Amino acid sequence: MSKLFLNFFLLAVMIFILKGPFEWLVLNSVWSGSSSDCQMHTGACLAFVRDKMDLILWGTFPGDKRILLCGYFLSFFASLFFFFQSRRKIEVKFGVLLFSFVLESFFLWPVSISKWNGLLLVLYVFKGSYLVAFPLGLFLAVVRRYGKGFWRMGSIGLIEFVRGMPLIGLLFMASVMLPLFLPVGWEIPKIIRLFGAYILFVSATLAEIFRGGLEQVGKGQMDAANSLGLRWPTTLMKIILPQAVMPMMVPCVNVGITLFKDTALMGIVSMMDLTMTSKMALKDLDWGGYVTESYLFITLVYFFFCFLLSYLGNCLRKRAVIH
Amino acid sequence: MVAQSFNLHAGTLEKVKKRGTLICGVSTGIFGFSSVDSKGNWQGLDVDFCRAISLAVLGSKEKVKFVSLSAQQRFTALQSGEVDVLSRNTTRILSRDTDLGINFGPTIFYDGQSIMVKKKIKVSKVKDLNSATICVQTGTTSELNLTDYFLENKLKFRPLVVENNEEVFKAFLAGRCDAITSDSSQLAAMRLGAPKPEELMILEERISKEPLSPAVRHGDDAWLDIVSWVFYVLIEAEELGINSKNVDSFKTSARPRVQRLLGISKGHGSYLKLDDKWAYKVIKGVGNYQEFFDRNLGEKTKMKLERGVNRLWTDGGLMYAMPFR
Repeated sequence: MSKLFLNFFLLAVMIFILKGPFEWLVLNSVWSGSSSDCQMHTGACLAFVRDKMDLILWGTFPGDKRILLCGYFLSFFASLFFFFQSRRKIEVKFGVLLFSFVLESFFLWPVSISKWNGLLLVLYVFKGSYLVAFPLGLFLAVVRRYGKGFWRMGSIGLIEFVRGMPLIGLLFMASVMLPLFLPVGWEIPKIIRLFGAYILFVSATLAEIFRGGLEQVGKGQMDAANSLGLRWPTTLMKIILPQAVMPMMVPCVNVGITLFKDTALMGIVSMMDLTMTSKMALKDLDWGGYVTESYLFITLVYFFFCFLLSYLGNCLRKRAVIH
Repeated sequence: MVAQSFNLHAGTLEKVKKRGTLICGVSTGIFGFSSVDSKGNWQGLDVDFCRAISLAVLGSKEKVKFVSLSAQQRFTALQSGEVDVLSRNTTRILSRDTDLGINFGPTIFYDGQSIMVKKKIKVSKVKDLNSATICVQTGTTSELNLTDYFLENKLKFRPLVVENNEEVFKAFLAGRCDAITSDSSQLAAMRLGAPKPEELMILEERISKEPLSPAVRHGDDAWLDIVSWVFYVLIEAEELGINSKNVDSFKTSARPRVQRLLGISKGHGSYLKLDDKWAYKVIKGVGNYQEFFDRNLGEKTKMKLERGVNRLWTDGGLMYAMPFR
């Protein structure tokens, strides 16, 4: 009896909470038309999102070159699914990712970098920096674990320094401070500087994850390899890394998802990421400021990609368990 | 270190010519000054001014790359050489002109700060706002002006400082503050963006002067000359009645002033290291100041601003072109 009462109570609470959003988003919303149609209704103005969708997703990317985006996305999703679903060796997978990244850059080349806005910028920076950060992080971890003297100290210093800095600080350094310290006439494009910041940050985070993986590999493994007369590089590539990296793939995917969300910080250093393009879309006097609708839209975009990544990561984990 | 690097940035003109594009710092979206339409094209008064510079230097209005900058970031971007010119709704003030290592060109829009309130709180003068909470955007001159004005008039207020333009306005609409302050052109735009504009009212008093001017780096006088004189072309053309549509008919004009401006007789290009047709290209490409205003802020746009002090000096305004001689 009390259970039934509790159920009804919870149902009532849920209706009470969800009634407002439901009315706003479904019953009273406007799906097409203009600003004046929206003003007549109390609900969400989804017509605004429809009208501004192109601007929010692609920013100032020229309309007549949108066909290039098809190539980009084909390559992006194909390489993403290949990476997570294929059973090939991780080196091969990374090789394909790297190749696809070069291919994507090639697709986008006819358009000036400053016009790679919105979702495109987010995906490009995400993929590019993760791609470089992964091997770099692995390298740092290996040097930290097995290196000696200067190399080891350098690796520890770099990892700890970067981990001690907030990402936003690194981005500010890269976008604002660095150009002031460069010699005259030197100009590194801003996007490259930001890539640098993201790569440093992610590789330091990944290095610590890989270190955990490396420490799991028992000392006996090394001794066994030595007694077989295997050389150090072979030992590393064939025995240590496979045992150290595979169990760490799931936390690595997590770092990837975090990185994906962190790309939104680019807006603070005036890069036109999704948040910035959606703000830009709000600056139109034909439409009032439909802030909520526009943020809701980019929330969905972020959710889609993060969910996709975590779903694919989960598949990877399940397969790792079967193996 | 930072101060030194300013002087090393001479030669922007050569850099721009070599690169073939002008890099222009604009806002991340300010109504009427620099914003992006649904098709992804930049528009606004500041944007048109960048196009005018590009026409004068490179001969085409398409050769501009727009870099959007936040209020806090704009000066570093200019100092570090990331942008060639900052055309971003920036008030010319003493400290920026000196301490920040930048130089301002002529004022392209005279604005003034105002305060907007909801009609229902029944306030008609700023004095009625004693001990009110006022929303203000950080990193702008508005914050300082507000404090000064209230101190001068022995009034108290509580500031609610928010980083971002929309959020300031949202906070105001949500009733977190009694009033909101910004440049009057911006308040006019915000008001239009509100769900019920008729409930809001902009107080008539102007609490500050906001001469919005383009800026360049200190120590590059040749570049500053170009930026300044491109603006004077816009005013001079309006004074002479030349606009983008009728400019070709002026080619046969017998008036020496017109002939010199359009480069029909020996023009002024060589003084600025530009070709003699530079002013013609500017007028043909983007028009005179009247057209700038009508296209972006005037009666035909949603902003519906009056020319006010931005009229020509001959009509009692402040816009005055230095003589082209």
